[in-house]
Amino acid sequence: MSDAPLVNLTINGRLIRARAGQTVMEAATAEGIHIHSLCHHPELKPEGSCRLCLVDIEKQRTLQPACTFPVAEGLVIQTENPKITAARRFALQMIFSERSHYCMYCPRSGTAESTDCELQRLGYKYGLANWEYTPHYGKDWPVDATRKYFIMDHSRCILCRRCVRACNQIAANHTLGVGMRGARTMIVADDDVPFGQSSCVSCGTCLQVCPTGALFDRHSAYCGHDKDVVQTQAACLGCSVGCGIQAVTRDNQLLRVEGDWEAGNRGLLCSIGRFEVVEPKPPRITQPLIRREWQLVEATWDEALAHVAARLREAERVAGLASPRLPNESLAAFACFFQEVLGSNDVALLYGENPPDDLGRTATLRDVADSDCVIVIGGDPCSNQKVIGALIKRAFDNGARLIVVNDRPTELDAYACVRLELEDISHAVESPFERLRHTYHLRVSGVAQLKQAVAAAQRPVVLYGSGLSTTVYAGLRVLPDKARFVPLIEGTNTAGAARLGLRAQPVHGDALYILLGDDMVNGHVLPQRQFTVVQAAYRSALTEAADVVLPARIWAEQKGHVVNMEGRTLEVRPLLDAPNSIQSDWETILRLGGLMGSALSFDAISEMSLAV
Amino acid sequence: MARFEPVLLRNVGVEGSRTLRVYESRGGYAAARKALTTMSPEEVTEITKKSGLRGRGGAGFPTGMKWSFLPKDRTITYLCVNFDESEPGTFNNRYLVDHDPHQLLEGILIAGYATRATTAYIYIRVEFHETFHILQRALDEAYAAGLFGRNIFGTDYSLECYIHRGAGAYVCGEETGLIESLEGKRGWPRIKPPFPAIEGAFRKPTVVNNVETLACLVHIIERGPEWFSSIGTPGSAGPKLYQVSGPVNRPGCFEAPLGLTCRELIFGDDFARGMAGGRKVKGVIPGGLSVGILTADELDCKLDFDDPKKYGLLGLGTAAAIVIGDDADIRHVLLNTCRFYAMESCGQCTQCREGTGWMYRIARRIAEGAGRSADLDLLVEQTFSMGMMPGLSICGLPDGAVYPIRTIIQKYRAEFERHIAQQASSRTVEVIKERVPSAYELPILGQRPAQVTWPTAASSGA
Repeated sequence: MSDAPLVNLTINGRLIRARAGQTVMEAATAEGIHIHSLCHHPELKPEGSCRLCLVDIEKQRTLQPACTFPVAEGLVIQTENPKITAARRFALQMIFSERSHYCMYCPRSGTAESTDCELQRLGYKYGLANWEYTPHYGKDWPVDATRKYFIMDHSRCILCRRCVRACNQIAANHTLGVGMRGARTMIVADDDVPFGQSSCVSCGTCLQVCPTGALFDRHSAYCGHDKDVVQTQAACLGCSVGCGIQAVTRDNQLLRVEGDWEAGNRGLLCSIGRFEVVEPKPPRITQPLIRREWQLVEATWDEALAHVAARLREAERVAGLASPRLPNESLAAFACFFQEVLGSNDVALLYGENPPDDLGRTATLRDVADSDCVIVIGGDPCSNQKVIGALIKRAFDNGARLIVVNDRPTELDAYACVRLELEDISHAVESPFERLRHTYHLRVSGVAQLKQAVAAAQRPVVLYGSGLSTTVYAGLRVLPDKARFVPLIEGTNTAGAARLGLRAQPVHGDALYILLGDDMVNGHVLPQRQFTVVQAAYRSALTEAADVVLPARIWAEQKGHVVNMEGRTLEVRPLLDAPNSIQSDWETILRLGGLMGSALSFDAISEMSLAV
Repeated sequence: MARFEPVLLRNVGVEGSRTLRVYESRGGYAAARKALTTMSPEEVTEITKKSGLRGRGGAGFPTGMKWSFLPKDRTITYLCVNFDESEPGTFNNRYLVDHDPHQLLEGILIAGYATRATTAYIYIRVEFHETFHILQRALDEAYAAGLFGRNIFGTDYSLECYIHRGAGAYVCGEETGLIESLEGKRGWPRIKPPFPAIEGAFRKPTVVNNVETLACLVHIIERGPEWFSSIGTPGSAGPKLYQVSGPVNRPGCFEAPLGLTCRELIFGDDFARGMAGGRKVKGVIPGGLSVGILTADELDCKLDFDDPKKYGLLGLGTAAAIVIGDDADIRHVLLNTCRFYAMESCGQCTQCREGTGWMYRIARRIAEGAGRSADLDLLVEQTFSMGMMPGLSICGLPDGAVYPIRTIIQKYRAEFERHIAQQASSRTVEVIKERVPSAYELPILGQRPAQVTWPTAASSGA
């Protein structure tokens, strides 16, 4: 669109320029002219149904919706005049009278300055002080609270269908739709089943675009208006996708997480990134704990660190395990500590395997969504990197071909036009007969099929999992150059850890130092050691089995960097203040190094992490 | 006036008129053959323009002009035949196809050739079960005779034709709603621009024409545009199928040149032959519900494309007259009207979705005997706020809703006021037992009246 010709138009007497193909709304917004609207959302395809964005365009018989009207040379547009006001007031009267808008009970409701409800704001603006049409309070509009994380109150719904479009266009999940018609129109999930029983994946995109309080989440409802809270741009540390988020905090509490429209994920998050982060957690560890007489008892930092230093010095061989959820700085300090202080190379990741990253050019998240041919090899993005799964489905909706190569059934199989087994593509070298087979329409090998698909596509993207055989990776290396690659990495910062030389592998030693952070590793069985120290934020099976437990910060209190699956370094910003006594991981490790008599310095660590 | 020789209905009543054999023996498919073998598509369009044929579906848009909006460099064009016929009181298309399905198919061939259409879809209303089978049989016959498919009449023109059964909504008769429904989606009208001629069915240039419009084409090609434009009144050329329903002696579908007066249609010997059972005319909704109402004093309105506008009506509509006898209660006419639009609003635009619902609730309040004079003002005021005219909707459904409602109230205001005055003075009539089951429950400001007037023959004295 950027090379579209420029057109001149006048809005409210101001001469502005816009690109042909833009709508009046887009042109006006770009110039800072605000046009009221309820159904329009910049990230969704315009629908022009709420009729609040009406503008007066000269030479047009009637008022026209700004959100759908294309700009043209010489348009003269008025965005406010008595005719428009009358039309908007009528529209607002209609909306307010359709359902029971009991504003005082709504979490979004507020004064003209503080309200977060777009409908209420317009109500204040256009002075809707009374109803010309009595709303029918007699009718019980359903409230659907069957979903775990958020609630739909149909009485506050204005049927703008932003949620429906978000579900279809952004999350590509196609759960929400419209049922019935006329004034009986309802937002429904699937075939009008309760939301909790529907195909909803709780990505919460609908929640984020809802203009009123019809959709609200259980955690942050009534916790403050937008003006009371602090919004911080940050990165989600739920998985290796590293989605951009807007963290909403107030009084040192994380209220909710919203998707960042500007980031690669374009506002989309998954249930883990949006809702799980604010779910109740196990008890927080705020004081160091030392096992005394079979019991973990609270100790001071000095006591605990001295104890750990002494025990580690005694040990013959110390092994280290770190969570891949930690930022580069913590991992660098940890690796440094083992190399410089303990002189041990026995340090590894708890889990998470980094597949080879030299298969070809890397793709970004945007490339995945815009691709016209997506190949998924190994891995299961719909369960492990849900946002990637949604982006693939979105590409599919836009007509992309999808090829799935996996030994296990995955959710994407239903969308795949070609489904292969890993064995089919483990022949790195193309057989000389391949061309012949192709000529005679015989069954061509998997690699040849992939090559054909990539060659036929404009913007092919290959997503590959970890832990595949080397022959599979070799098969991918022979794909045409235009293929772009994204590794489906397990663990948030596994890529960063790999650059520090940390990998998931068995460790040996009679003492074990586990740097856990706020990671929850359930079901990890560790062999019994003589001495185990765990640095963790929450109580878990691991901390209960430890000899010493050191407190750690959670993701939202950390500062540092992680590397995501695209190979991009993301900044981790502290959103919350850590409890007083809890230091960041590298500070703890630095102190421990000091106690063990080493010259481990902050500079060395920062240098190492910067090298990543 | 000499009796008009039916053109569109010339095969009605002829034995076996649905068969290809009989249709061809009476000169059928000669026009299509003439168009395809001796004329270019541009010539056919030119002849259509010259004939002054205007769309018979309701809006009266010149057909030839509609075709000329198609982009010049198109490769695929779709022709959609609007056989949804959902306007209340309208049955001319069904009548036409029931008796003479091949006339429609021949019209499709001509229109398809003129627009260089590759595929024609007949969007037939789902309720027309029998008609569907009649049409399907005729289409199969035409295919077997080589009239559809590849290289029709030995020319290099090919046209595929499919019959698509609709999904049952009023709004699917709106051309973009029809296209959406045809594509298998929810029948919601699209935002225009782009117009269907540029981006219609399956995002390809599309022409949507009414059944009767296509049937007219056959005769325009056969007898020439001059013949066609000589029929009717200035600006409204050609024969038209008029339909009459209601308490008349002979309800039915009649053919006459455009410009027939309403009085003639109801009382003419060739037409409805007067009111049944000694009733008088209270009013006529002359062109399908959406155009509005004519009172008994306005029966001299000429039913062509322009004259009804002088009487405050939307236009000709589908020329389906619904006659209302003097025994009907005007409040029920209003209630029925409002109910129809409330039920059929697709729910896409706020004003129509809620506005039609509100009109129904208010009309109900009036019909149940709890109306107030202010309600009438509110309804009239609302009719000016809704619809495409102020720009408050995507399609014309609310415009169709406001005309009958506004004209009913404006023209019968005195009767409404009388009822309202009556109900206030006598509060002793029985409570309504039978209620229309509906989701539009109405809390009537404060309290629901326990006793309301429900008109009986005695109380509704008009």
